[in-house]
Amino acid sequence: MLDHQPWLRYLQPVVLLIVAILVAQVVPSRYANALVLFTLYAYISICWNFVGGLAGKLSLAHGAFFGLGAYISAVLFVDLGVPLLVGGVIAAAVVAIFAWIMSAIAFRRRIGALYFALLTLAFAYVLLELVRQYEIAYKLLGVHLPLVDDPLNLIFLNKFNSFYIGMVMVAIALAVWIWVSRHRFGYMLAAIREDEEAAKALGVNVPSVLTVTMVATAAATSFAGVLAAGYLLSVEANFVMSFEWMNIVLAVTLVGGLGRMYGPVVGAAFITIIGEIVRSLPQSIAAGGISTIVYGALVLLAATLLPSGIVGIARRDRELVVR
Amino acid sequence: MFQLITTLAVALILEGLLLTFFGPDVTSVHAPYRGAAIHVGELSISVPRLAIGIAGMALVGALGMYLHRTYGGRAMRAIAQNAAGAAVVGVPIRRMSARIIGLSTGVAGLAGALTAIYLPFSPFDGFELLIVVFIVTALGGLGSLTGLVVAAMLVALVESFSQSYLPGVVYQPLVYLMLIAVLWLRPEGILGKGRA
Repeated sequence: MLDHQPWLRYLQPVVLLIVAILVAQVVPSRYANALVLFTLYAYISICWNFVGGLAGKLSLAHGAFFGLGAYISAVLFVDLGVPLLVGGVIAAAVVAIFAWIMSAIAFRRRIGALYFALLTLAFAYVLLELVRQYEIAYKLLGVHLPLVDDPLNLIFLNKFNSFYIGMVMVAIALAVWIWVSRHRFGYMLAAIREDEEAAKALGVNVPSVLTVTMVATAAATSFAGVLAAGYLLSVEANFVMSFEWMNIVLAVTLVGGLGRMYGPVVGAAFITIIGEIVRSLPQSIAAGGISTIVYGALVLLAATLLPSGIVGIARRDRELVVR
Repeated sequence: MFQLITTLAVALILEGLLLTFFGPDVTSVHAPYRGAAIHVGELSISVPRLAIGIAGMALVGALGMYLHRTYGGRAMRAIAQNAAGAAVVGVPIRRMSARIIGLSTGVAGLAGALTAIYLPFSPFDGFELLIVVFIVTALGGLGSLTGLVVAAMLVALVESFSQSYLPGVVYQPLVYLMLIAVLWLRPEGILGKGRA
């Protein structure tokens, strides 16, 4: 059926969205925060999965892209009254420029996986420092968005509404994944992942393809920052630009299934639950670093023992999708 | 790629452990010899800094001797150049790889301990330093100890100068510019021999 009517595949994200909305009706409101986090984790991880899972490049910069999107859109909203969504587009443009510069350095010359990862880390660190310096210079009191129901600016009194918007974003991201993975572009990414030299020999313009992917996912990730800004209402550099987000993305994608369509979604559910458990631990155990340890340990376990993730196990396909 | 992720995960776990047990604050060692200085004419050279510098160079020297004069070191370099070839001539890859990791981790830890004598430290220093290490390695080139030493001195000098003459905006923009220049023009590094 799917061969004759391939558009049916796109029903999957729609069904997921409907199911999520229905489930949210019966979920007690104390879990609303977890649900919103779930959508953020899932969405950012799907975006990252294009680079990490399909193209096989370990980018450590996407957490910073998310944070930058949140910070820029929040500042533009609070200082200049720019509607959050418009600010989000501007933030996405800024993030895209950084991603483009990073891609130009990373992809024009053969640079190796280690250097690529470290380069993205360096960029993430530079962005963190830039935002921190800005905060120290201009925003010591923090960036605070008003708590009034403001749907056009993604500020909701009812947290579930943020969840719905988040799920719409997840659904869109999944739809893009379906399209990319069945289109020539997706095959080019997979070819680059498997053997970059061979891909180049077959005519794939490796630098261009990778740059497009990096810039597009960077901009897409920054939109998650916009949702986060409207939800958190208090945006500070040490939180949104923290490497913890990258840690979470890695945990989510690896545990769920690197390179798999539903990997990030499954992984996000798992990580959100774990996160809630960790958050509910008594303060004596849960001093600042415990979440980093837990997520880091999950990344470690997934990378060493379970490379194909939960989705890989479920499909009885424990083969490595990426090497 | 999974190797990279694994080491990153270990780094994060270690940072988390430090955070949990010691808290996020910057601390430093209070030692009576911190302020000691030798006076050479008009210059005043801090003794702890001098000692750390000498110890560091001795460490590098010892490492160089190990890598070039002993069987173990040569085996490690052989694995780096051609793992299959090394296996063919009888190098126990697994055991040597474990030793490489152990050695590099130990040296790094020693370097950290030396630095802690004089400079303040916090659990977050690891990642900041990793980027400096990356820059030095990219500049100096993989597989060349001399290249690394030269690059390290270069980076340290540029850092110090930009700290004095440029107000501390982003972490030493000149150093980052050097990194970009090297990655663009000569990814193997100035004195590099290995693949980029």
